[in-house]
Amino acid sequence: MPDKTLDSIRLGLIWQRLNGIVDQVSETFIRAAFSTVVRENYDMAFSLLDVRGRQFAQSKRSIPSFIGTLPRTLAAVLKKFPLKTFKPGDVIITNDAWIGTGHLNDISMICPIFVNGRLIAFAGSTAHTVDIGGAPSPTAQDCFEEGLCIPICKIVEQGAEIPLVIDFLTENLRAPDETLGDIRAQFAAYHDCQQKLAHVLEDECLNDLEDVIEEIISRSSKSMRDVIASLPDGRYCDEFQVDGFDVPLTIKCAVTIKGDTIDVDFAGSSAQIDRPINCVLNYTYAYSCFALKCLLDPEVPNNSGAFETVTVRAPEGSLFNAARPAPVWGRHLTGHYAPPAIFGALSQILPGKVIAESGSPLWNVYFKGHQEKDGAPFIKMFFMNGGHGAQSANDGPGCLSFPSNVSNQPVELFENQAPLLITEKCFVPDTAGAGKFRGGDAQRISFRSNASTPITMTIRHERITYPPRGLLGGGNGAPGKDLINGETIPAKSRQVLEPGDLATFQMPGGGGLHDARERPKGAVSRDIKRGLLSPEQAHLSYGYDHE
Amino acid sequence: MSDAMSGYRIGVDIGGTFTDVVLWNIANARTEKTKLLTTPDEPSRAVMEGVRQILSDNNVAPREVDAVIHGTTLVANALIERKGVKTGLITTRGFKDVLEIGREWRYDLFNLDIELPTPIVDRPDRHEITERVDSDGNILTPIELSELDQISESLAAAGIESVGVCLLHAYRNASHESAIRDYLAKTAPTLSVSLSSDVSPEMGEYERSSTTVANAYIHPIFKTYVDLLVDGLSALGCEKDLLLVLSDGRTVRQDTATQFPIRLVQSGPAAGAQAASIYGAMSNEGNGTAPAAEDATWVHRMFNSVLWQTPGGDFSPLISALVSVGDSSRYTWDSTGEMVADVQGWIDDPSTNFGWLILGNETTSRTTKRFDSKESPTAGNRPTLTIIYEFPAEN
Repeated sequence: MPDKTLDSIRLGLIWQRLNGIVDQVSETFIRAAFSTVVRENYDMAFSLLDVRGRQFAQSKRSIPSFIGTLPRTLAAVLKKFPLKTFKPGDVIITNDAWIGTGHLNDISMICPIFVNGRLIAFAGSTAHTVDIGGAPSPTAQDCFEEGLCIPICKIVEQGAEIPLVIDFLTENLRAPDETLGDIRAQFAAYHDCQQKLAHVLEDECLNDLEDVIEEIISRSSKSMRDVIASLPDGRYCDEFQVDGFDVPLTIKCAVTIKGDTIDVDFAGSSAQIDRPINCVLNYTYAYSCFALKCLLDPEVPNNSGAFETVTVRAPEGSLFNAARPAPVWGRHLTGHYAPPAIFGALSQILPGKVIAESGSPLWNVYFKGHQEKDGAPFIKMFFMNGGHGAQSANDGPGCLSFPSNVSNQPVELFENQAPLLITEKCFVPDTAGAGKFRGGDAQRISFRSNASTPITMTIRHERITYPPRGLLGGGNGAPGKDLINGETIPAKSRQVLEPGDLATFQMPGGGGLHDARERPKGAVSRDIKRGLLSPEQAHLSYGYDHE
Repeated sequence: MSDAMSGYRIGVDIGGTFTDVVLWNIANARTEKTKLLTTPDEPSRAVMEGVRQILSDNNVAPREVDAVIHGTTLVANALIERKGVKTGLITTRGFKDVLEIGREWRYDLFNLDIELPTPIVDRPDRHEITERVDSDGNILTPIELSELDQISESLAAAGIESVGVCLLHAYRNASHESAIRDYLAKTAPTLSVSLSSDVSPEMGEYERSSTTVANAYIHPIFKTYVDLLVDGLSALGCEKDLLLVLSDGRTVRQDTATQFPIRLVQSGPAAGAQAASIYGAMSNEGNGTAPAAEDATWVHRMFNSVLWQTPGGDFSPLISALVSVGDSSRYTWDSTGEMVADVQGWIDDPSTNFGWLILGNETTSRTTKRFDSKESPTAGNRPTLTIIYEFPAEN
């Protein structure tokens, strides 16, 4: 019989195995998924949570907001379905924006994992679905316009799908095969997860994972609290303007450190508006925790323990804590500002750790129309990332997702699925924020309609008026641009692409870090040689003149 | 697959420190081995020396060697250490940054200082050509081959020795890539050219570009290395094929390997994993799922809380081999198709390896037999199992 004491070595082995399992299981999900959004963009997350609702492991391919909201979703599920009511083979579903990730397009599910008749953990997963019915648009005025809300309910009971729930989904969605295909791929992943966890328990002669989870969570908790305690107590603030909808909006953030606690307060930010850029507190919480974890204690395993002394607040009815029935479809247009606001505030005490602002909130575009071959309707989404902010000791990478972690999809795959031709996907010169460490270069992507019928195109983009900020003396990145046939279009709008029309998107460049005059001449001349810095801009930003 | 039950095979692995050479006598299933210091300046030198040594030590003539099988980490090391040749890229107009933009995904979620690998081809050496093929393989814009003259000039000026060509949808219609290869063969005959439609004809422009460029980057050095090895073996008198292990564990002949060295990027580790699976199948321990001390007794199935359904063990009713034996003696069974299938199954999925049971006819005392186990004090009485392993051939 193996030794049952949980020393560091055995804990490490079991812990690595749990991480391995959650990554393997998320691959099961990705490979079995039907949608491009999951298979190529990885707009999903898979986590393991304990019977108390605490997250203890998550897949590497995860969207940071989802791993942050899943514990809160489980907490809401447990209020409706007490622990003792779960049976093996149950799966709970919801996409309620205030319980899940902040908009209806993310469907979250929770599956109790039983081994030898004992509930040992929950598998939780979230996946983005391109369509959730309704008429989500940049002008939606409440969440009811934005599609079908699935209340917390069982979609599978003891291994049998509930036909009523499946029927509701089938009747309300535009692409039910794709969405249900993704949902069932997650059922397969839960099954896989159950078997693998049972295997671990059998190998390790354990009845449950409680001691292991307790140890992992308490270590992450202690580590985070130690880091916070090492920071000087105080209240650190940041405030800036963002594009908003009709008028600019204010983002205000105060981070208060006291002993081993951190309070993040978004009071003073604009009130919620009747346009779909409002953010629910779940999402605000998730991205605040993510930002703090990245900045303060990135090496230690991420789990609920790390946030035991973290509080996140925003007045109800404000941008960061929207109240029902606010429209929230584009909640990332606010939520993705939480990390830069926190970094801006803490740059005063952690100047060697923060990164400058990235070309986010995440950009994407929806195309809706009809296929040329058979006239079948299609709805496709394309994700695009701007330049990453300058890093603490390096230039920002060009076009890397932050704070989200959504991958692009291959041009070749997209062209196979929609009657559009992508004519360019390239870096744009003179878009990186100047600095000792410059920001990441922005990219430009152009789509030409090859359809013989009009295509509806929907965009909701930020950073057109207010570009990504440089930090600690670094310059701003270039703002983004949206064009049709070379003419500027509103960044939050629904447009019609006539046959042959060309839509062009230029994402924002990343902000720079520290004074541009500290940048080594060699680095400037290299940027010129690479064709991403014009000699004129080199002169303006860096005072560099080629001899 | 060879049915030869005689002759010799040589296995060679070149590591960062040591070069190992193994000689396998197929007839008696014995292996001999030798170990030399790797000669990094010219890796084939240690291989030749090792082969010469092991043949002479064992009095084996070079012509008796049926095959030399080689797993190598050379390709992986050249990529990791960035010791390939200066490489360029030719791609569809509008897409030269695909190689650097990648998939826009952070592999390390919480690391603000995440570092992405530097592309093998830097921006000034990535060239665009006017052409376009659509997702059905239709040519939308014919290729402007004359642009290659300017591109060749830039490549030559930059000292580029090898170029990868990756055009959009070339996995569907390779004609534009082929036209580039043919044109460059005439105008730049010394340039090594790798086409994405040959190296990795799959959808996904970033992955295909990256793989094609990596192939181009190591192609010239790997070809030189394999040519030296083949010449050296030939000079020793080993005229048979050199087989190289691919990343998936299969083997290819030298000509394919030198054309697509990127397929050998995991060659050494794959060969190691294959060997480990064979050792696992042949080992005394490791039977079945999750072995632990004190398992597989006559009473307990796994842990001491789990019993066999039938005392003495649960076993499959299927019989893999059936033989009649006579009086007390040492018996040798020939293999059967079922036994080969059993062993293959254990290698494919080690958790199914519960071994064989030798079951006598115990209905009467007259037919009862007793066999020694591996613990027998008389070594000669211990059972032995000989497995002849064939490398899977390339598809």
